[in-house]
Amino acid sequence: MAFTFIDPSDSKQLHKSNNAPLWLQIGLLGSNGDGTNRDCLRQIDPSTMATRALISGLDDDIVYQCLLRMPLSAHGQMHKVSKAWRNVISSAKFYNNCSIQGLNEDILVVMVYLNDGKEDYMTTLSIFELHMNRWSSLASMLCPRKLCASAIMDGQLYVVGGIYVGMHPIAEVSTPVDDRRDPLPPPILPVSPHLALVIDDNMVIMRAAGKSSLVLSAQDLTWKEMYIIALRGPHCFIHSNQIYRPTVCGLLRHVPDKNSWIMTYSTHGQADNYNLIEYTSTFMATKSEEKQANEW
Amino acid sequence: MVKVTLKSAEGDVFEVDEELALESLMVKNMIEDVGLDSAISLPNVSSTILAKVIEYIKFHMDAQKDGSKKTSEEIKAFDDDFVNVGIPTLFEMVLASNYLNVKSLLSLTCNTVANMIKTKPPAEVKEMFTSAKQAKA
Repeated sequence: MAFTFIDPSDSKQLHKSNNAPLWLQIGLLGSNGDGTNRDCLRQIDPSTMATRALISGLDDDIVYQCLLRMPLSAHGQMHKVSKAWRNVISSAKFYNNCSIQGLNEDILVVMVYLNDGKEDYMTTLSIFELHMNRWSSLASMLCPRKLCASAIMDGQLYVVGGIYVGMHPIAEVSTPVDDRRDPLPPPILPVSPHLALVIDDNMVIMRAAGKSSLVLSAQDLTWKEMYIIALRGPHCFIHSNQIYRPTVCGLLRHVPDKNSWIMTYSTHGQADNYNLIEYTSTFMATKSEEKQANEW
Repeated sequence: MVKVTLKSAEGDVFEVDEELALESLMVKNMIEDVGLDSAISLPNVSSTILAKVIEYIKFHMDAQKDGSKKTSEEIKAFDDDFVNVGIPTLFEMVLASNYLNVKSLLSLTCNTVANMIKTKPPAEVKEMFTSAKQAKA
């Protein structure tokens, strides 16, 4: 995934409240580069052009065509070539032309929730649109909340649970592209503050109620209860639709058929001892989580 | 088959099929305006570059014809070989494809320039394009 640079002037604007971001959600919220409008080749704003030639020996509008074809990952380097190049690359027009010609890449969106300084709840959603190279704010969720589980599936942001005040939907979904926010059917189990993973267009909320995990299907928006043994902690991640979990003894992978974990990369080369260690840690975790659950 | 006569900057004359000439939108417009009787003069394109452009269009027209045995690998190999030239020649080809308005060739050459920029650190890019100027001057 290409994530290269952020225009410092814009990112400052995001952080001018001096409040630390409460939450960060990274995901692809679609792509608008359908390449249907390729005839706009000549729509170049002369004001973005510097007075000095971008490359000596070539017309600036032809160089512009070449620069439009550079991948985003190279833009950081292109900044350093000369002032003229920097002027071109940092203009919003440049990113517009990229997307008009369908040369842009997927929109990577980083969502940052900021608090407003008074309350501790997430009220502001900010997104960074990679193809436009800018931050913009998004209408807030139906209900300001904190410590919620969130996931991005199919260009939509799903938010479940957390701590909030008043009568509000427990789960909601927002579609930034259409600027829509809809409540979701309430989850079948109580959701305590937990993390979520996305597998196969399903949002898995880790250990939502005691030992079970909650699964929300993005297709029909139904909830399911699923028991995944020892799925916990902030370090679990998804790769090729499989859940991985790093532990002190190595990297574990979840096997859905057997509902167990197998060691994929052992740090000590002693994968044999793994079952014992894992069993012990599972047992201990279950105990402590039960205790925690009672406290809540 | 109707022939179109193209005249390069040096005054060399190239006789090509009308179908081939129409691939250049600029030549197409000229033919619509002045007809096929007189030679179409292209004062911005040198003979060497014009010959290359014609070679490119010819290859791709053959490749697109039904019953063509050329695989996409062969086409790619041709393209790679075609743009594997020095920077001055490459720039002239970019300019010519822009002037003649041959979309596919413009895209190919621009991508080549972009790839050259992509793989080099900024200082080298700067150097590369200044030396291109000196080589041309």
